[in-house]
Amino acid sequence: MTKPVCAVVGVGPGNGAALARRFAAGGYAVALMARGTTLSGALASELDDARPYECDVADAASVKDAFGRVSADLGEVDVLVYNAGSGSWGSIEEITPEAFEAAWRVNALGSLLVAQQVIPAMKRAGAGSIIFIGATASLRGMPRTAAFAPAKASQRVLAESMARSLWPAGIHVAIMVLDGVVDLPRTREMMPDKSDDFFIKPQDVAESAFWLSRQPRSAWSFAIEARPFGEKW
Amino acid sequence: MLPRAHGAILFTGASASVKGYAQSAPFAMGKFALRGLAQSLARELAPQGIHVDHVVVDGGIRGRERPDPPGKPDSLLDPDAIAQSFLHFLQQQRSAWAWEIELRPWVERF
Repeated sequence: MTKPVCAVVGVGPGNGAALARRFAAGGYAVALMARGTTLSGALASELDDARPYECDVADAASVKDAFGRVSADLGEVDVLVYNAGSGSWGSIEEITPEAFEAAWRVNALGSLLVAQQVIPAMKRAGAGSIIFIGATASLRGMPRTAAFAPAKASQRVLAESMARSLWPAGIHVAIMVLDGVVDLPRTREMMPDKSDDFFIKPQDVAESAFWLSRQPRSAWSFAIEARPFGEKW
Repeated sequence: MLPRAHGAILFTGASASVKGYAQSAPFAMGKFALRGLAQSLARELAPQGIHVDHVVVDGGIRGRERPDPPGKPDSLLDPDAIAQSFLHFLQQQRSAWAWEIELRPWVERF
């Protein structure tokens, strides 16, 4: 297969699906990586040269196995978009150590495990993009983000360390900081009073991620926010 | 822009917008002030439909008089590459606006 390869890690009905659609439209063979394959399998069948892969980012063996199958089927990964994330909401007094660790595994450890799978081939090629989908919580701990904020902050500083170490090898590492509520069936149900304008549209996030992957190396960006125009910040 | 609830204002910043270096006090003071203005305007005007962005240009600019040094390709920012990102910024949809982006050559220390 001659198409460049994009791996979207964390494919749900929101950003993950929009990212897969955008990169498929942009000429990539897309690996849709998620814990289950029900949603990603249905989406893959709608797209050209897309395939679903079962992958649990919190489990090193699962990640290694999944990326082995991706490179065997599609070729080496040119663009990695890490969209896996989990929110567990609660204050310091409410959160359990298990929930804290689970949030860290999906947001932080998974970022490391997945990146380590694609870096060697990108280094050999002297090119590649690794884009993390982050959150404002990476910069600001709120009362009920005692688990989520430390996990996202850890992901963000990992990305920063990666950028400083990998940019000179030709690998563009970047993070999108989403500051708002993503438009999903679930969030619409939770917030029925909010207008259309309140939500971050997944296709708009995907467009910026695609643009990041296309920036010429003489002028790369590291962090970029995506915030609805009416959001307080 | 306000009556139409639509528009974009882009400010070109520099490394000195966010870092004060030795010998750069006058430059850094001016660029910090610009960033403060841009952030205030972004918070004030975004809810009214005007997209304000501050672009941190972190590196030297390539030009006819200043080409990339030998053996260091793309180590200076290509003005066309900067312009591409400005254009992307204008194309961003308002559900996912950025207010600040940095642009930096791949080999630049930061």
